Amino acid sequence: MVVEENIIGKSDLRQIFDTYYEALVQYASRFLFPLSECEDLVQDVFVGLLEKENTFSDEVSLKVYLYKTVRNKCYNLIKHNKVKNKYAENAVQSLEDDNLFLRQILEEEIVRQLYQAIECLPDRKKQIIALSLKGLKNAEIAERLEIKLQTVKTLKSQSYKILREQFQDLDTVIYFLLV
Amino acid sequence: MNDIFYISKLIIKKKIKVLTDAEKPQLKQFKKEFPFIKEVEIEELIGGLDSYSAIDKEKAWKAIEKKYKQRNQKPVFRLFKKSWHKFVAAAILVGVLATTFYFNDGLFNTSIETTPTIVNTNAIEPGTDKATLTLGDGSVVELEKGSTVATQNANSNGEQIVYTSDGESKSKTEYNYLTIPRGGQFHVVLSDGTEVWLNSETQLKYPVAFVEGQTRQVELVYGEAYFDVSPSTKHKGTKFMVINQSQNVEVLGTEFNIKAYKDEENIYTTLVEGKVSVNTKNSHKVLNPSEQSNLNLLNDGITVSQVNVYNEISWKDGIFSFEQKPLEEITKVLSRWYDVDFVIENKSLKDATFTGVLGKNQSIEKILSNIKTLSIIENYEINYKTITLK
Repeated sequence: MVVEENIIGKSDLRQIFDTYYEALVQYASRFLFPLSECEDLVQDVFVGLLEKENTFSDEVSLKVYLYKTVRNKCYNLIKHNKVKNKYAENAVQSLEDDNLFLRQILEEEIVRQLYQAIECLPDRKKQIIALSLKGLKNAEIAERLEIKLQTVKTLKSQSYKILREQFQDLDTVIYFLLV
Repeated sequence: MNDIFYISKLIIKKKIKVLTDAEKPQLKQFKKEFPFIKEVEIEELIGGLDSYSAIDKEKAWKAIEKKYKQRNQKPVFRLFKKSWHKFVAAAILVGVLATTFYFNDGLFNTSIETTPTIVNTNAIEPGTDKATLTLGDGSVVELEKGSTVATQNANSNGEQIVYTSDGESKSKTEYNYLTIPRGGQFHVVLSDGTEVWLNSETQLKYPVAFVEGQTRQVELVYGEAYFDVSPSTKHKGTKFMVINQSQNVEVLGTEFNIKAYKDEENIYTTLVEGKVSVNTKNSHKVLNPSEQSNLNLLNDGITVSQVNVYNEISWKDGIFSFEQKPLEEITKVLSRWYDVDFVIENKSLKDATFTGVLGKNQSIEKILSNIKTLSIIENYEINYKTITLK
């Protein structure tokens, strides 16, 4: 058996979980309620990964697998649920829509990456950058958090610096090799 | 599909102004290919960050390990067979352990450590199965878990009471009352086979046997009850009717929930299956499944809206499920089940809305400390049966 170095397998599962768990739960929560049900469903996906000998050639194919599996599980669960209501009907409809699926993943991936990029920041900076990304002006942030305008400016520029560093060195070149 | 992940990075880079000149035309090209990109607004997605931080990943990982072990050591067994009870089962297994509460308008947790003041909490316990049965002659019997009671027409094991179905009465009917105190719940099977789940602080009046050929009528004097009505076809076409001081609900055979508390200004009727007609002095509305009527007792107006049925009826299966519910409403529910009173000291908290699931067997302290951990409340104080949220 040939083992390639960049193959993703069981031993990486914890890290995969750490990276994608919340995003997958939030994706499921677009169709399912309550949240505990969504968590349960996503946990099953990971249990499935532990049980089977799945390997993925790269991170993108792993991501595709995760989102698609959650999508299918949601679909099956709602389809076979006894309580048929309008909410469920809408959920089924939106789960069947491939274009919507792409959009939802796009949205979830944006939130996931932003979350992970600012997770390491101290609470205050997190709050400021979240409000700023939400579109609030410095003065509004200062008022909302009851802190000085100057403090907002300082902390915000420091936070953006860290955030930018994380996204700047993206491997554009590698991407073009992949497509 | 693989492009989507790359596009997500481009959108973030554009937002934080680090999109390179080489990437700009790429993003433009992608927008042509996927027109929906233009509609994706980071500003609107930021709320999702709170939901992320509300998820307990450590707990989730442990749950995964546990599930994996269980499945791979012994044959898989199922606790609950089918239908939407699966929903509940899943919620019990996960939800009870993890009180998943998240705050809709908060930001990240800024944890300022404050210690709750607790004065004698031994007095606060989650509710249990209990009820007071009042017989036709006015005599009173306490029904409680562990005690069996038999009357002329019914048997109780302390968790539920079942009326005998043989022979519908032809003469004058005798009425019984079930009164559920705060901190109680009960289940009754009426003589026609209709099942009723009674929530805390509720009173139901019903005949020990229904009169043959006549509308089967019970009265929800006050409180909340879930009805699974035995169909008319089994009872010579007779309707079933739930009356109340302000409305009556006419049914043929169906499942529905009525919430009519004394301290609330609205009566909510939620239909799960079948069809019911909600009638008041001035109007009547027919409900379809997953519709809820809301009768405003102040102006007698009645409106109908779509609801997520699960949230309305989960109480009967041991779960409180809240979706975008104001804190004040949640404290009302908790006060009935734990038999406590709440004081919301910080008035701005009253309108804060929550989404979350609570197992009814959790201690009140567990719930409060969870809410506190999420920085929804700064602190709380328990003084005998009064809980103050700060």
